[in-house]
Amino acid sequence: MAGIQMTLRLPKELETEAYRCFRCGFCRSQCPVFRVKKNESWNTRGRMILVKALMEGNLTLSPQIVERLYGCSLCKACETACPAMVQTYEIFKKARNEIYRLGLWPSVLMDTLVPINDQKNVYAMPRDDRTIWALGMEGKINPQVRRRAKVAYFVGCASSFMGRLEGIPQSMTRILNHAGVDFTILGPEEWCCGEPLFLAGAPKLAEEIVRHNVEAFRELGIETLVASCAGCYRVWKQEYPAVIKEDLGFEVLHSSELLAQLMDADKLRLNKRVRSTVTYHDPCEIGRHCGVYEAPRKILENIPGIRLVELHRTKGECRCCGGGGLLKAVNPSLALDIASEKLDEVAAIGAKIVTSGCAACKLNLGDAIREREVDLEMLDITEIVARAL
Amino acid sequence: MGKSTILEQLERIVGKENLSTEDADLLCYSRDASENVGKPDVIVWPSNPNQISEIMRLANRLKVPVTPRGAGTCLSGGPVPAKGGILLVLTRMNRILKIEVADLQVLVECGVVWQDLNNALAQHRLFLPPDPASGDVCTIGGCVAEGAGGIRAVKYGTFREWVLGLEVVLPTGETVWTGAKTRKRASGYDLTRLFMGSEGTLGVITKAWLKVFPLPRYRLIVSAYFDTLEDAGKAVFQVITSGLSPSAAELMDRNTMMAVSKYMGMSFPDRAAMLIFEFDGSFLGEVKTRMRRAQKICEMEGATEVAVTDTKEESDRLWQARKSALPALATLKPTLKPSTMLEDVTVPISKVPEMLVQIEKTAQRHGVLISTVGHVGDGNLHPVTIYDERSTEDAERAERAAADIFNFGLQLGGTLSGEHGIGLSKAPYFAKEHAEAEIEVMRGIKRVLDPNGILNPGKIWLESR
Repeated sequence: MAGIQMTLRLPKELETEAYRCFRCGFCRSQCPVFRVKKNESWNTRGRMILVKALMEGNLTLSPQIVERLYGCSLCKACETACPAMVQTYEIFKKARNEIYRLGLWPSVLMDTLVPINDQKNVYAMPRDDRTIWALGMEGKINPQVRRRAKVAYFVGCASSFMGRLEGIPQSMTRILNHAGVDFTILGPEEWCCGEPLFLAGAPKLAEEIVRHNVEAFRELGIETLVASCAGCYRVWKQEYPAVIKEDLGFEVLHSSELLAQLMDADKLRLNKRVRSTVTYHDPCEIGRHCGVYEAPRKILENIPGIRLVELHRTKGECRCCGGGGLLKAVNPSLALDIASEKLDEVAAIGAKIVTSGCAACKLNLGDAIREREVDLEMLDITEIVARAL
Repeated sequence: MGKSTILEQLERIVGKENLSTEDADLLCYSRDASENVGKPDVIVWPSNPNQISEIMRLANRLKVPVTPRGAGTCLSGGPVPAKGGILLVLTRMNRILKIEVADLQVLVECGVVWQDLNNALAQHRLFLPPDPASGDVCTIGGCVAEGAGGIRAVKYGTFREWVLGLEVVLPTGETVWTGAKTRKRASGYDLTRLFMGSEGTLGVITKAWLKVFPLPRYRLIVSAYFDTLEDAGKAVFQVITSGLSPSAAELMDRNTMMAVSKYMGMSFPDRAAMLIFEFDGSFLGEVKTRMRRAQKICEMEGATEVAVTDTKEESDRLWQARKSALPALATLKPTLKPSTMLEDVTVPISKVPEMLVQIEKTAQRHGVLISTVGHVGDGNLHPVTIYDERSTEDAERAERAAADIFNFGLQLGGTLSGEHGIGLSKAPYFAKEHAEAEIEVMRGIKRVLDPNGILNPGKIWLESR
């Protein structure tokens, strides 16, 4: 079998973590990939067995093993079910770092990640097109690019370039203008947040990006950075300070947190009725990874006309939609199957609109809705708020 | 017939997408939750008994080992393919076929997950009482094959008490139904019980008719802390023999409390032992009376603290803590490669205090870390030795401690296993519990059903003769 004989090197403390896995298999109830694949090698317990075999030099790192280690949405749900408290997320991330170091990345990632170096976005789009989403806004409420302001909005690659997602930055802009928030964006100077590089196993490649983005915002003297994409938010919150080894000098908020604060301060009033049964899907990267659960619910509760229903598995137990951890890039059909299962959960509680705070969720769940032709609308939390303005 | 031809035949039976010889899969399916290892040569995921029957006929003709597997949460090596061959993963046969509310019984396929079944039953205000700690993931087929128990076995018994009949594919390929849909039956040999707890060595269990029970309206929990394990053991004995009929009577020792407190973010008083009793029933007053009586007994037996848990959230949390105890113990010893040796020794209920003392003494004598959790109410203890897998000396000490614990258990009139099965882990000790004449009867039964010895070979007893 193709592949190379290698010994996976993990930091000492993570080796101890890996050996603490007792193989109890409790993760089977949580892993969204296992739920679809029904094969232990696509479950956390299996991945841990593979990682340990690689650590001990007892396994050839074949394309099939690489496929398993990238066949994970890094959603962290397994950690919630692990009585041995194994930090699986850190272990899988470090394993990916080693795979990258050996040049054994899944080839599809090259196509996605190489453009980041060139045009500073994952889509190989001209960087000047970063504000293309604002063109559809009837010209009257354009955001101001690169000026001194207290609040800056980090739009993110997906929302900037994908027509299907332009509703997110457009809604965000409308809301901030409506609430009278003085804010700015970086426009062409906004570089990809680097999240795909962190998830792919190439954090070093992200360092230049991190420094550029931090510097660009510091120059504008901002106090608050807001991101509407869960992935951007998480790296800004968790990876950026670790890379620059110091405090950013401004706070980082998810769009839902900022909007909830504006509502608290009575600066954002939602008067228009949105008559529908709505549920909120907790994106892994703001929920389990960063602990943001209440802000989006508070917003939805304050939109007149909405009947908010919770999924059976919610908050820390919310099942990943399959859109994260680069799973959609590496194994799109698997990501879609996971999203499709999620739709059954949504249907079970009778929701007509499913909301979340993550571009990847919107894309992946949106794809599943389209494929299955179900009567369900997928909206970002900013989009449903904009409807209520 | 060569290996490739066998694979072709298997592929014809289950379809290409339900078979794997990939390294990643073989490695991941070489383990269960025990310390045992055994790599299959091929994994198949059948979807119906006919396919299994065809597979068995093929394997029997070619004398290839076949090992059935559910969720792989076994704690004794049951689903580990000790001799390689074909691994039969049964998790895709996971339909709940019938819920007959009026007769209080259900028909399920073997791969149904315990929790999924109980979720479905709860809609009819019913439940399946035996509740293994791995209930969120383990399969009904595995529970039946291993004779699984759990926390509520003290009142409701293990799976042995809840199976009415089984559909079984024999090693030679025939499919038989055992048992009946009646509560009582005095008609022929009890083959249902023969297959129950046979650890996948006599036949592949593919469907099960199970009894179920109305969900009790009230469940109240009382926990009590003690300065010695022995005191706790005595309190349990008193509660049981007073006829208070707890639906759970669980013990966690100091180490276990420490381990689960980390995972659950709970705090426990610094005591040698904690007992958790559950009382269930339809009438609040009656349940409360029994619970108060148990409180009183605990106080009389020297409990330092006694607390009542009255909300469902709190109770759920407490049970989650208890059910996470075994894996959580791995956090206790921060060595590089902690390993655990888990015992399932079960003694007559009056011998529990003595057994607890012997376990403590064994730990001291061999200088090993042993944590004890267990279903003390039915005499079923889980002393867990935590040791460093890399240190031969450490592993040997753990092995010697285990041997001592087995011996004490047997001397007290106990058994090697209450609910986890013998599998590979306890096979070396099997002849200590069972006389040669009894083992020969078992071997005879095995020969009748599995003349070529292809089904789950290497389990339960050592093949020394």
